[in-house]
Amino acid sequence: MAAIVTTKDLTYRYTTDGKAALDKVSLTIPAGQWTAIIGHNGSGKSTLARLIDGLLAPTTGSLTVAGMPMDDEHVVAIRHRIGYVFQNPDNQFIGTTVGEDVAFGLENHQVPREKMQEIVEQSLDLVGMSQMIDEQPASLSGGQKQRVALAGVLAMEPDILILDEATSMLDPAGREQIDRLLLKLQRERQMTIISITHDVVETLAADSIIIINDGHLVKQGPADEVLSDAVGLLQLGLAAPFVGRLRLALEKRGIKVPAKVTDGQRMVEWLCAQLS
Amino acid sequence: MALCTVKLNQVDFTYQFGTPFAHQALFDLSLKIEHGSYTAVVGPTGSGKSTIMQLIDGLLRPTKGTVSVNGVTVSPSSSLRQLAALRATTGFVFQLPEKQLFAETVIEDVMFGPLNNGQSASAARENACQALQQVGLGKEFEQQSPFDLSGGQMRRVAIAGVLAMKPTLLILDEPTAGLDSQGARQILELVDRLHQQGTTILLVTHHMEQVATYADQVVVINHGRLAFQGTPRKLFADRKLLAENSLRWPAAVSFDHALRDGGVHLPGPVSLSLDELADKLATQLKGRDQDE
Amino acid sequence: MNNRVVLGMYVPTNSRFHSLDPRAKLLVVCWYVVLVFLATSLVENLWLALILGMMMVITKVPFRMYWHGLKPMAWVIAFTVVVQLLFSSGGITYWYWGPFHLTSGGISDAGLVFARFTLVILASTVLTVATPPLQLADAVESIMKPLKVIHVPVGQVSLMLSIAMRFIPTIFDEVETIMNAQRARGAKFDEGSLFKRAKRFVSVLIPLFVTSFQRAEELATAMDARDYYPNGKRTKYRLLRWQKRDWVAVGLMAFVTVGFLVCHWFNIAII
Repeated sequence: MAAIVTTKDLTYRYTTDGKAALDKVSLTIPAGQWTAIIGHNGSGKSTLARLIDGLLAPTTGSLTVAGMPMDDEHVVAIRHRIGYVFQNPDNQFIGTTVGEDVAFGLENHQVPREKMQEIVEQSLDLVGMSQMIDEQPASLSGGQKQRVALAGVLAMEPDILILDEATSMLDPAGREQIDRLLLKLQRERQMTIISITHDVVETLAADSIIIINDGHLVKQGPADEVLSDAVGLLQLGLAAPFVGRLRLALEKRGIKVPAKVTDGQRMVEWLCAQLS
Repeated sequence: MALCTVKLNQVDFTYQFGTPFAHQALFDLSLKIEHGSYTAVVGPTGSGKSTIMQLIDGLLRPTKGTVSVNGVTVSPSSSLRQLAALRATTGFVFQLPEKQLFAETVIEDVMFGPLNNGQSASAARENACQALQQVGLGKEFEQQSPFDLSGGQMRRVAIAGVLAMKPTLLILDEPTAGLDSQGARQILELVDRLHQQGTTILLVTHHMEQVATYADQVVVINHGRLAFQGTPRKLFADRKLLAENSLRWPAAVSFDHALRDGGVHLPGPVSLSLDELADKLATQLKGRDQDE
Repeated sequence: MNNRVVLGMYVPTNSRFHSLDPRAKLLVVCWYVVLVFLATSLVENLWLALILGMMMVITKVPFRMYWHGLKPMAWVIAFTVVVQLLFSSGGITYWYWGPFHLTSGGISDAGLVFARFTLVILASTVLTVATPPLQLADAVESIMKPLKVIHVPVGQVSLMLSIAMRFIPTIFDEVETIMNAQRARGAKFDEGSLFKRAKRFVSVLIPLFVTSFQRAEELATAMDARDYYPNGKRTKYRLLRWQKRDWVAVGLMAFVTVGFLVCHWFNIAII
C-alpha cells in the first residue's frame, strides 16, 4: 500500500525551551485506508494532525504529504488535498447559514457562483443535510453542525480527510451518523481517513491504529491487533474495547482465555463452545 | 414510604412564553426523585433533560405546575428569591464546567460558592480545601491559576467549586464529556463515593455503561415528556422502549444476550456490568471444569 | 438552548416588505427619514404618518413589536417634548412662570419634535423587524463598495462583520450558560449595590473572555484549514438580487414624495 503521509523524526515544541509536544516521530500513513491516531488528552496526537495539514510548522524533522515535501512552497498545495474537521462544532462554522458555510472553502478557491451552488447542493446531499441549506447554525444540533462541517470539506474534494476528535462532543446518534458516512466515503471514494481520538470505541471502523503517548510513537499496526492488547492500552491510560476488558476480568477470576480469541465474535463462539 | 428530594408536579415549560418565539420544551411532566438515590437521566439531545435540571435548580420558572426540592416549592407565580431558595441544598455541575472558572487561584475559585452563600472567609476556605481533597487535588494546587491546569484537572476544580457548598442533591450534566478514559473514570468514581456518603445524585448522560454500572434509577425523557422511570435492569429488558427512545444496550447487556442467543445458559437476569457478567461466566466455567 | 435573545428584533413573516432586497428596504427607509426631516407642517406629518402606518401593516408584524421598539425611547421623547413646550418661544404666549412659558410656537415645535422622533424610530423599527441583521450588513457593504477604490478592504471588513453577526447568538448563549453556572454557585446578579453587582460580573466576564479568545483562535485555524488567505481573491456565494418588486418599492417612494410635495404646496396655499 502506497504511503500518503510520511514523517521522519518529526518534532514540535510550542515554546522554544519547553517540552516537546511531539518527539522524533517517524511513521507512514497508507493511502486509501482509515487510520486512527489514539492517545489520551495532551498526548500530542492533535499536534501531529496539525503538522500534517501544515497548520503548524515542524520544529525539527520533516514530513511528506501526497508526494510533496511540507515547506513554504508546497503548503498551499498540500492543504488543497486535505480536508480537516475539528472538535468543536461551533468554532468551525464560519458561514451564517448552512449553505454559506459549505461554500466558504469554494469562495476561497474562487469557484464561480453557479458551479458553487451546484457543489454546495451535492455536498449537503451527501451528508443528508440538503433540506437545511438556509438554516442558521443556532437552529442546528451539534451532530448536524459536524455534518455541515464535513460537507464543507468534501465540497473541496480532498484526498485526505482529517477528523480531529470530530465526534467527541456529539451524542451517540450523532456520532453513529458521522461514522457511517465516513465509512461510506472511504469505501466508495478510496479516501484516506485519519481520525484522531481518545476513545477506543471510535476506532472500531479503522484499518490501522497509531498510538501516541507523551509525544512519542508507541505503537502502529492493524486495528484488531492493537485493540486486542487490552493490557497495553490500559497501561497507556486508554480504555480497552469490551472484549479485551472481559478477557482481563476472566483472567483475574482464574480463567484462561486462548490467545486467538481477539474480538467479540470469537469470544462469543469460544464461550458458547465451552458452555453449551 | 421513601422520602422524596425532588418532586415535579404536572410541569409545563415554554421558552420565551408569550412571544412569537414561544417554544414548549416540557409537557405535563411529573417526576419524583427519592432521597439518597442515584438517578441517571437519559434521552436524545433536545429532549428537555437540561430544562428539567434547570427547573430543579431554580434557574427557570415553570410555566405551569410546581417544582419542589427538599421541602421548598415553587410555582409559576414564585419570585426570583423563591426560585433561588431551591438552590440552597442543590449543587449543579454544568456541561463543560471548566468554562465557569474565573479566579486567579484555584482556592479562590472554589471559595466563590461558599462566600456567595454568606460563609465567613475562614469557613469558606475550610470547605474549599475539603472539596479539593474530595476531588483528589492536593494542597499544591491551591495557589495555582486554574487556567494552567490540564482539562481533567480544571474540570475537577469546577466540581470542587460546587461540592464546597455541601449540596445534599448533586446534579451533573454529562460530567465526562470530552475527557479521556482516565479522566472520566476519576469523575465517575468521585460521584459514586459522594453517593455512598449519602448525596442524592442526578446524572444526565448519554453513556449506557454509566447508567448500568452506577445508577439505581433511570429516567428517560423524550420530546419533553417522561417516557420511563424505573431501574436500569427494567429499562434494558424492554427492547421496545429502548428502540422508541433511540437508546441502546450497554456492551455487557448485548454480550450477555449474544451468549444466551448462542445457547449458553446464564443464571438470573441479564448482566448489566462487566463484573457481573465475568462473575457469572467464571462460576459457569469453573462448574464445568468440576463436572468433567 | 431555545431561550434565544431576539437580536435587532427581526420578526420573520411572509410579508411583501420582508421579501424585498435589503438594499431596497434600506433605501426606502432612508428616503422616508429624509422626508420626515423635511416635513414642517401638520399636514405633511399626517401624510407621512399615514404612509408609515401602511408600511407597518404591510410587514404583518404585530403592533406590539413596534411598541417594544418605541418603549425604550419613550422617556427621551417625553423629556424633549416637555423642554420644547416650556422653553420654546414665539407666537402667542398663553402662560408663563419664571423662566417657563407656554407659547403657540412652543406647542408647534413640541408637536414637530414628537412627530419626528416617533416617525423616525418607528421607520427604523420597520427596517429592523423586516430585515435579518446579516442582510442589513450586506446592504451596507454593497453601498460601501465604491470605497474599494481608495483601498478600503471591503471584502475583509464584510467577512469580519458577517462572522461577528454569526457569533452573536452563540456568545449570548454562552453568557447565559456562564451566568446560570455562577448562579448555581450562589451568585446573585440582581441584588446588592451597583459596585457589588459589577464585582460579581467579573465571574462572568473572565470566563467569557477566555472562551471567546479560544473560539477566535480555533476559528482562525479552521479558516486556515479551509484555504482562506486574507489578501487572496474570493468569489461570493451570497448574492443580493434586485428584482422587479424592488423597483416597485422605490417607485412607490417616488409616489409618496409626490404626495408629500402636494401636502407641502397645500400647506403653503392655505397660509
